[in-house]
Amino acid sequence: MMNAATESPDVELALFQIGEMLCGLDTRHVQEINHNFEITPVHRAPDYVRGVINLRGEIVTVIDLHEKFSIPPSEVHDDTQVVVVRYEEECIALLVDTIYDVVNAHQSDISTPPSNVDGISGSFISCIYRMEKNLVVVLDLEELLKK
Amino acid sequence: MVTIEDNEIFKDFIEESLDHLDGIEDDLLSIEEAGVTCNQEIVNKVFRAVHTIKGGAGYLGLKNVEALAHHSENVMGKIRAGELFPSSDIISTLLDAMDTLSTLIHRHESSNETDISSNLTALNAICLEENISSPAPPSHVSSESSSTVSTDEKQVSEDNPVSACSPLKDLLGKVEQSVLDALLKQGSFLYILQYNLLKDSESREKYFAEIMEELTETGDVLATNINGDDSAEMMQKKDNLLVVVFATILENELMGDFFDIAPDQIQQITPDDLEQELPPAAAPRQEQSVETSPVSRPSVSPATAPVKKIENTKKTLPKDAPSKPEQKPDNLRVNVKLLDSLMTLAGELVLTRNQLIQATASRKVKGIDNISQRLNLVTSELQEAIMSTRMQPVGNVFHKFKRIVRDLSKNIGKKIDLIIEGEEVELDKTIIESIGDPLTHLVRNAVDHGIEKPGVRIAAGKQETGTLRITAYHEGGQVMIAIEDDGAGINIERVKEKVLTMGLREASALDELSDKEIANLIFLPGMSTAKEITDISGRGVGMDVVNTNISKVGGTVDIDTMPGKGSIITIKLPLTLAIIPSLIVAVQEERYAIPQVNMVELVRIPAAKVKERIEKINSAIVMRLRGELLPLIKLTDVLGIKDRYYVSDETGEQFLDRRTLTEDRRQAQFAETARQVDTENLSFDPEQRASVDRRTSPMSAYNILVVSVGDYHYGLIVDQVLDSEEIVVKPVGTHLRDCECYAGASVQGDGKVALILDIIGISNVMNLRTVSKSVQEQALQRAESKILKDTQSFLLACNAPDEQIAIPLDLISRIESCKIKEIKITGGRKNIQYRGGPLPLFSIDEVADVGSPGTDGPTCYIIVFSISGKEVGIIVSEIIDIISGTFMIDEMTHKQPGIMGSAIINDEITLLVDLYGVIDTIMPEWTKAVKSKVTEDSPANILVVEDSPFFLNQVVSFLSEIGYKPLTATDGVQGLEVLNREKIDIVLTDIEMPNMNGLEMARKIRADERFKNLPIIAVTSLAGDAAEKEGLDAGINDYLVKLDREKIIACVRKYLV
Repeated sequence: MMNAATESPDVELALFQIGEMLCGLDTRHVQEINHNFEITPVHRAPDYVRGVINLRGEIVTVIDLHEKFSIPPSEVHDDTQVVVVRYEEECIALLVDTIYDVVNAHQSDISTPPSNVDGISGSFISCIYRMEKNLVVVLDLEELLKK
Repeated sequence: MVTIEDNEIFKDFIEESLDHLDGIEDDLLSIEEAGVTCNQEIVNKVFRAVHTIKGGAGYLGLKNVEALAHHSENVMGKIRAGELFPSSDIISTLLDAMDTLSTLIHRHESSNETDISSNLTALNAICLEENISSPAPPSHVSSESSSTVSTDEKQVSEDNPVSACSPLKDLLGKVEQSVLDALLKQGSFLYILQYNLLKDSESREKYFAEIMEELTETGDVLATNINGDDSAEMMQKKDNLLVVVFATILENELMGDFFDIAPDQIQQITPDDLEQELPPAAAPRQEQSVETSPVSRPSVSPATAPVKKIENTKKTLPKDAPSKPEQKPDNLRVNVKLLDSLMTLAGELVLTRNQLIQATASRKVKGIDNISQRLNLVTSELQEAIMSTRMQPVGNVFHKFKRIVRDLSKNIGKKIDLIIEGEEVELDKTIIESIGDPLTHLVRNAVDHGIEKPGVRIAAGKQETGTLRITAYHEGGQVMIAIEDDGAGINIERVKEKVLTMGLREASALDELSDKEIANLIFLPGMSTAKEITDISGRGVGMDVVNTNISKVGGTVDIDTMPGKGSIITIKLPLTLAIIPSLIVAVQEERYAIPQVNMVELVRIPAAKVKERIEKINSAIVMRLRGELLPLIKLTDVLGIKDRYYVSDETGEQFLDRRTLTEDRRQAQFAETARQVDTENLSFDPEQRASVDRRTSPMSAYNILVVSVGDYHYGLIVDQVLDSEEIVVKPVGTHLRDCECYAGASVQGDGKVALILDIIGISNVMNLRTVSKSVQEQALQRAESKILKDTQSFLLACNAPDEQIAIPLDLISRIESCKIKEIKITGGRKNIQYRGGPLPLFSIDEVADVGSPGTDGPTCYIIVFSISGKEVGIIVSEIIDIISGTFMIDEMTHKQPGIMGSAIINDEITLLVDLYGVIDTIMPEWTKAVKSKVTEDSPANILVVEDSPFFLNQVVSFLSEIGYKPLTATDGVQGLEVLNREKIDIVLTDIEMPNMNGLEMARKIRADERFKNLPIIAVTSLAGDAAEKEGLDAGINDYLVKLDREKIIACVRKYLV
């Protein structure tokens, strides 16, 4: 999973914003993008868990990526969207700020994370995709979601 | 050979082999039970099962598994051949081998390195030993397939005793090995078919030629015992058995269907049979030495991959092998019919959805009614059908008990008959899986502790063999499982003893329990009454685990026991877990579901009763519920919800409530309002009235869910109780698995998610077990203090308006109400005509600086008490209440004649009236008798033991007044010290004291030879009969009421004379 980007020449990335960071996630992990849901808070859950939603009868945990990247929690409003990913047979919803687009990333534009990115949040970064104007932080889903 | 990477094959092999092993265990046991008369079919079944395992293992290169299976097979073969009597020892050896086999298969990666020599040696020993001394009754052997084959054939068999050599081998030997190998490589199966030409010909009109034709259509006949030419001749003979070696691609199951022959007429030959030149077991199959001739040459069968082949080989398992879901929880066998009906229902559902979509699109309201009805119907049917796929017979769990009971009883030398009933009763798969261990534990217990050894049983006049009965049945929508033994029963006394030594309950509490209740105490943690600790049970863990595990799946356990007759343990289980009835509650706008099985009752405490019913012990909130103290926790605390909102009744608005300590909410104003209500004071100001309303509004009432966690209950405070609903339990994600508070989640009708609370988890999170323990202790203390409580009872009254006074209740004879105008003043004294005589009346303001009782109202109250044999009355304007409790009494601030001191009662400063002082001040001569000084030269030494400084001072002061020299101590320990130091003539003691109470001190004093005749007088606040009796038993001479100065002095005098 970590090297998904380096194995194949082209990688489809779903782009979204987390705080000031433009992030990308390999679309093979993404099940759907969803909005218009109601988050039920779960008390006593880990900080990064915002709650659960009902996704067609399945109880899906909502994870706030802001918490994961140690930035102030995102505000949930009516238009808030989640990226629903499938990880180890389980659906998990990632709370993100804005969802943009799906892009085809060329292998040549992908590089390893710069060495000055480290710490806990650093481990969530799988690689960097250089777009014309922006840099996209490609997330490592496994690192992000493992307990 | 297949590589280890072939995981799929391994998985299949393991699954199937374990399936076989399961069946084998049962079968071996029934073989043992039946002994010589055992059904050959069962022996065959076991043999085949072991054989299949051997085949698979050989194929996969599991050498140890193969070897062990092979050796077991040898022994089985001998049993099958009747050369070996299936004695208990042999069966044990076989069972052991099967256990090892199962372990090897479980850990197949390391199986080849595992040492299995002990099993092999044991099995070999059996083979060798019996080879020498084998009686081998031939007639027994020939009955092999007779159970299902006609009598004709039996006749035949008997006429043709088995020859010593292996005729099958001969028959097979006619076929070239290379041909066989080739066939097997192509994926064909080899069978030996037996036809009874006479019978088959007559009944099915099949003759040799037809049979051969039929066979060659689907495979190759490799060899027969009859030549086609002389078939007619053969038919004339008595011996008309046709044996055919047949190669085909058909699987064993299909053979019977294709060729219309009974399964026992078919024997499959696996490659291993050939390799080992056929094990001895195969020999008896063949009942006659035959001549063979190849009928046709093998033709090329469709090539099949080796993978396919191993699967096919496995499928030769007997069809009646029991399914065993708990060993492979990932797979479930579902009846195809059920699956079909599910499919139909799913189709219905789709149709209904389409209708609904159409209806909503065209906005036809009319149609929607019908559709929703239909949807309702389809959904419930679908639900039912799906639920039934999860249902499994409880026999899946029961069947392993045969082995357990057998092994155990053998180990410990007991004789036990195991009767299993109701194996067909079905339960949800999840429940079946989780009750295995608890049930095993209970069965082990019954065998180990319950049923006595044969000697003991005979001595008790019982049958030597004990009976253990395991029954499953339906009752009231639940499944009951009863484990019943006719053993010694539970020793109630020993349970009591154990409970006491473990300190789990107090002796007094135990006395109130019935035997049954005591028996049920064995489910408390740490209880085991077995005197010896065996490796079977008695380690003091278990029963509580049994209880916990069963309550986890929503069940309950109950014990009934009759000393000497046996015990019945009844387990009640819900049919299913996936859909559970539950209660929906709300806290702070959030909804939660609580499974009904955990619910005991709902208690709503109206705001006006909150103060009365809910108390605080340290940091724990408790509620009085029918005399018990119930620990309470707030759901908001459990979940860590901080903001408290309350909804205004009128506006529906939400307000933030900043109160944090709800348990002592506004006691002050509350008491005040309560009092005003009680006294029917109508002069409320409107503001106050409004505040009363708010406090009695639903939001300040407590909704308490009393829930049960196995052996104790607790109360969960929620904001609202909404509804009772059947909810579908859904698992929560991995990130939430660590939250102990939730058992899952459920989608509500409106699509919102409601989390399901885990009642046991919550009690763990909140450390309730310890809280509940401390509450229990408190309860016990309270139970004791019910008899001997140190609390004071006061009559609360109003002297002047806004002036609350309290009078010790014990001193009051009665209370009278009278009209003010009836009070006459004669000779400067107030009097009232009462029962034909004057009753002198006094008011407190005559002696103390207090307000005077209002005489403007029409009536007043007179508190009547007696002093020096005279009845006197004190006038008060209002009676408020009678209260009891422990009050902090301030003796300084308000101390004056007629007033002992003051205390804060119901948040108001209350003067404690000294009735004696009032009279003493006004009428000193009346109290002269009491006050007469002690005349002796050396006044008696009185020891006063009392922990409350107020009462101590009271007693000391009136004793000193009359010339005694009281010594003091504040508890029993100190009292004894003083007693040892000084010469004491009489002891006055309180009962309830810290460190050592009065009773204990009295016992200690009486135990001392020196103080045998020392008078001990208990001075306590309330003397019940029971308490008095206990006091007298402890050696107390007299029981007196605190603050009754007169009596105390009289009593002291009496004893000192």
